Amino acid sequence: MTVVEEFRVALAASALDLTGPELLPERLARVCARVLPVDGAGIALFFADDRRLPVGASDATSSIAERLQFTAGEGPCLSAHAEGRPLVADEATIRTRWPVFHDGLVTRTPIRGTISLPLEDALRGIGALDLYTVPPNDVTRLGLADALAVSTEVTSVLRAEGRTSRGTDGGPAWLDAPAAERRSTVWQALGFLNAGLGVSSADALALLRAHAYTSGEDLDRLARRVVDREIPLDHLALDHDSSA
Amino acid sequence: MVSSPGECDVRQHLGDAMSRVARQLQEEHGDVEGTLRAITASAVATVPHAMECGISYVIGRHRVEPRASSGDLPRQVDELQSRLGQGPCLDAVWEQEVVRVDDVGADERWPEFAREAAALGVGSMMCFQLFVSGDQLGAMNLYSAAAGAFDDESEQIGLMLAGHAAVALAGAEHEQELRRAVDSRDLIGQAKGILMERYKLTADQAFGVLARVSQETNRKLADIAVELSETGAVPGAAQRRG
Repeated sequence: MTVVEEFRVALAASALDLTGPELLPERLARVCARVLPVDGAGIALFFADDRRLPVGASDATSSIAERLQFTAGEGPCLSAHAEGRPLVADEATIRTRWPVFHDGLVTRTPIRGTISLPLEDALRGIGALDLYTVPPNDVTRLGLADALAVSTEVTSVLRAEGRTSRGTDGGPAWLDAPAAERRSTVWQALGFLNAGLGVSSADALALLRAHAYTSGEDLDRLARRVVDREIPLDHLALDHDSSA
Repeated sequence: MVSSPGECDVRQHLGDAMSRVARQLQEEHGDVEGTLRAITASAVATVPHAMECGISYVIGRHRVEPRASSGDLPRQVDELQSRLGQGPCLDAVWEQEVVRVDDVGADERWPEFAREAAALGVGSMMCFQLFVSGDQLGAMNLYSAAAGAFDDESEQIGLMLAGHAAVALAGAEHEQELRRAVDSRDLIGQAKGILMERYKLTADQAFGVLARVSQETNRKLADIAVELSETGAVPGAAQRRG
């Protein structure tokens, strides 16, 4: 069986476990991790700078890796997206190019290698497939041709399903993925800072990132605490030594 | 297909054109406007006697909106059809995949259009239907200065290029729709945050406020959210009575 055939068989089988249309990206991520020689996978969308939207991950560790990268505001997936080309990074590369992301990654996950693939066709410029490896596995085992074939499948399944099953307030049903819901708390927290501190969205995100970095928590969790009013807003401003 | 002496040439021609389009598609790298422009340029280079090519949206059978064009003429003809409320893009192409107007100046189906289009220098034209979705239609239009310039061969080549244009447009639609859906969620989330902080509301209450304002002002939720994010004020709050 080719990797694409394996992908299709595994995807069909996974429909039994994860049935909801909003869980499609998670199913796809699991299937990617299963048919490719990697240990985890995640699918994300990018629309504006800094507005990275995770829609599905194969497992908890892959979700953590995505959140770490979003928190750090740097990393292989962000660079691959910015450069519009696949990016394969072993641990040495990650440490050199994205030191903040590397710190979090080695502290909080066993992941030591990443393969980031911008999605093509209907999701070109928007979608990304991120693959993760854990030692003794490493990034050299994955053939880029297989990875690209699988990423093409991911795009066409998302495209086809997006047409047939519609979500709340327009858009495909798979946009209602739980991971995307979690990330939306960050946009709410930006609104909190807009209103409470009178700062722009870009500054609000920078303040949240700075606080997350010093407190060692991820941005999604910090946002949740801000929205739940567990953190006084002036703490966020003071942390940044801001004059605002 | 009836075999003709020129058939071999046509195939050769088509093969070249297709590889040129494919190359250009790759170079443009997903830029939809660029892709559509490349297709219009290829059409002019490939379809015998084609002088100009435009790709347009026809909205609600009364407005023709140019999306990509090889030059000024296609845009002028689109504008003409919108202004006069008549022309091949406004009726015939809804029912037929291809509409050929062999002598534009003499066509009696659209008398005013015939006169003004001929004055613009259009001798003959072909319209290809790319897609129909609700009250929207996509069309690719080819123009020539001479009457009777297009034949079955030009139509066949035009159809192939129209296929590429239809795929490119579908991709653009998909992307726009996704972007809209995600943008509106982000904005609504952020607007909720602003209201929650300012008025000490829960997320559900904040959403309730946005939904009510949207209903009362008869505006989209996302538009209310944009205005709130930009101005910090709840739109319509000042106008509300009692």
